[in-house]
Amino acid sequence: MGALAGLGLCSMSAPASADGPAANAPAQPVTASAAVVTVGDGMVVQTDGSPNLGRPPIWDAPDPNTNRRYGPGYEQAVVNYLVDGGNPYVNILAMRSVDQPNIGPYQLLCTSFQLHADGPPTKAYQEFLTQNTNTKPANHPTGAVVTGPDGTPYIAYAYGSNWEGNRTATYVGVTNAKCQKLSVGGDLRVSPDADLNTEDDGAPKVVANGAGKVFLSYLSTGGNNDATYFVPLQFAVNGSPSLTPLAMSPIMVIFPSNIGRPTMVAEGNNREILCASFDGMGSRRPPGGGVQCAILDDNGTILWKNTIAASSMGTTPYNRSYMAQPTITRLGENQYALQVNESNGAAKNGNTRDSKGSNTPHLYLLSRDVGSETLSAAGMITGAAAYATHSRICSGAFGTTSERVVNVISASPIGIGRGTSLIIHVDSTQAQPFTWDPNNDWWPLTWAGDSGKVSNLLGENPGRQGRDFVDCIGDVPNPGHGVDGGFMPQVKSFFVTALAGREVGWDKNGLYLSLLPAEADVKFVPSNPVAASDVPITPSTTTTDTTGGSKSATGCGCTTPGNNSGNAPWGALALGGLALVGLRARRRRG
Amino acid sequence: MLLSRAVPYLAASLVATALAVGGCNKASSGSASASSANTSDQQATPHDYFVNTVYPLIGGLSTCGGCHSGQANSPCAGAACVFLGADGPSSYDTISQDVGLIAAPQNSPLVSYQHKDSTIQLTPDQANVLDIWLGMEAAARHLPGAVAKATSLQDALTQFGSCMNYDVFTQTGMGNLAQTETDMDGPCLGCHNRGQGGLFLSADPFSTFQNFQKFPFIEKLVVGTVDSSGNFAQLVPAERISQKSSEGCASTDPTQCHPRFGLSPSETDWVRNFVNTTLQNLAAQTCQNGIVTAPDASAPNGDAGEGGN
Repeated sequence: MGALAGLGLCSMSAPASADGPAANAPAQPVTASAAVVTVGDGMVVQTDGSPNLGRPPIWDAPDPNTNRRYGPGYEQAVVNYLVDGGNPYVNILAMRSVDQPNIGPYQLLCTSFQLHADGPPTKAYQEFLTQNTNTKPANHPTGAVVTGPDGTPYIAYAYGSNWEGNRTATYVGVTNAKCQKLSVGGDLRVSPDADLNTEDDGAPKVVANGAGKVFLSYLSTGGNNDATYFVPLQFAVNGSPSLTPLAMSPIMVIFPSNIGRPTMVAEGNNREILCASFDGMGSRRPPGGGVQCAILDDNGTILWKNTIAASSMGTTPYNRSYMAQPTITRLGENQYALQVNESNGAAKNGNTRDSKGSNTPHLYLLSRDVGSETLSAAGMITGAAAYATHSRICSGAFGTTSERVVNVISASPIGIGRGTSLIIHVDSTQAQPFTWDPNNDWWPLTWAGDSGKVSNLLGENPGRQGRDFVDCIGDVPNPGHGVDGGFMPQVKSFFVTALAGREVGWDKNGLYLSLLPAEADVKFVPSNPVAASDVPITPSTTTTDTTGGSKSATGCGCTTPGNNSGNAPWGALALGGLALVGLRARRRRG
Repeated sequence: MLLSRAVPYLAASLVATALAVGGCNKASSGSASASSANTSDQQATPHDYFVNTVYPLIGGLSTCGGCHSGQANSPCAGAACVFLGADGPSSYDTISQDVGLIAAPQNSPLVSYQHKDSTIQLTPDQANVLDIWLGMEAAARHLPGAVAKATSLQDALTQFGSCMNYDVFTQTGMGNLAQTETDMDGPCLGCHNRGQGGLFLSADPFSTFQNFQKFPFIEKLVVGTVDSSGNFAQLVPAERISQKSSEGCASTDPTQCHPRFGLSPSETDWVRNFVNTTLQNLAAQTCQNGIVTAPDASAPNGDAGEGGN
């Protein structure tokens, strides 16, 4: 019924032609929506038998510390894609609040959704990877897919925890699509023993190359120095999978760095790129130095390092700007996009926490010169994010031409609105390589989005700190592409995100898995998200009806009339959006 | 899904407000679902409906009949509170001859009487069938409070507004609708708390409810259709709020556009379920007890024009 209704609306929106079939008509944009699965809702008491989502919050507590460690629900989710046993999975590693005796207030939850050709993703596996104690039991997860010698994919993951000492240390482990904890002897602490009670080693990032090498970076603060470190690891499967450090000790790369949470890409061919913020001019948080990047080889040898985005530290405090929060993504061979968030440092400059700073995003196009092993900025654009604060980037193929784009994902730091992608088009031949359309490239991903509010209120130091680290991946193949009756059959690949947000009526943040149509057979324009289970199931091919109106059977939308440039698309979405919102497609899987 | 989940919850809450006929059931026994009303009985005459549906639920000795049929040693033995007989037809005759018992549901002591023992209350099922039956009687007898078939959109909107039930409003989630967030401009109530754009969404759910009962705000919930002669036919869900989220802006000046937003499936269901439930209640004249039944997706929406009487 859903498909028929959708086609009905499509034919309404397509102009009838007396000249017969519209085979020669120009291709019309088609409304499309992110397909959303609610991984877990934000209710403290879960109805599926899973542990409570932390303790019930007290929203009007006179003392913010009342809610200390009550837990914001889901936070800091990262996603990976892997194919195991011929089945494609999207894996999510996320912090999840719990309320269980003898363990800390949140743990690392692993969830794998299987993608299907003929229906929406289904939750296949879900397990906690940690049961750690203490106040910071498992935070800031990161993961990367690494392949075993027999071709079996695994996920090397890392996180921070203070379960062994007074300060946070960085741990690594291995899991798989089934969310099994595979590391021999449990997770491996990479941080030195000497740091256990003296330095906070956390905010890790892992990447992997195709040769069984995993590369870890993390931020260490306190003790004898503040710096961003790099650790090469060898992945092996000898009975059980394991990760073994290849360096005698972590390699200091960017310093001094008090808030240098690293970002990294593995270029391959014995090259990795690591970026982080660094201190300067007497300012550590926000960083008075700016953002540096380094090129390393697989052993951690620093081949090049320089400042890409410098903070501006004038004599007048209120004119200063601080460059921080970098994320880097690979666009192509030796070409990268680096996003840096500029802070106006309002809280610091005014020497008061009553005034919150604001962010301005800067997106750089970086090129690596292989001969000289240098990175250079080939262009920059400002303001490319729906919500600047805490926004991050990934890349992937997009549109009918499979162009490589930058996907800037973000959610409001005060919990309003929805998780949102802004698709940035890249043309390195232009002086300004980045462009985007504020309407046609603005894609709502979820029904709620929060990159800071609830974690600020219900986490550590309530009311003083708290942020999410949104994450996305591109180029996730759609098994339903080209399949008659398939799931979004005209979509070749997705951008995938796992984003937290608090819907009206939820106690805390829940977690969404969002599949955004990316590479496709037809041109898409954005519409509101739909539940993945409500995506109409339609034929994979564009057909023409007998009245001459084109029926673009998209699997996720309807052909829209007219030109969708400028402000038009959301108007053009009305019918298509209706088709999506109002329909209940046959649900092939729960 | 929301409705089916809400049924026992809502029914339980309504026990406290669905006031009892003398000596029916202890509240603790009222665990049955309120959704079991047989809608096919709505086509029966009031008499038949009472005999076949109402009496079996209230006439037994373990229910209202334990006292109100005049059983020995019961509080009603030899007293004026006997209104049930040995069977349905005789009970109907008795009630019909007792002035004041048959009235619109909101006016009848069969529903509104409060026992001195506050634990004696109608079960949700009992309240439901009594309301349906009394609604049928009131309409057939043209009693005060009866809901007659609307002959104009204005009348239909008035009926719909009067039929809106605050328990249904809150249980379906509509009380939270004002908190829905836009992408950049805060929650809906930030602008609509004074009724801007014909939509009234207040931080106070009851204020939102009260204003939704009135024109023009009610038209965000239901609109009228006309027949082939151009006369008012029936009310149908407006779907206006969810439609708005997908509409564009004709202006090139973004400041002249409605803030971008989208309803979650839950929020969409809040509106849809509240409107459909109210339309059903209006058709069955069960507005007072706020019966929540899962709508049949394959059936047309309930209407106030044809089904109102």
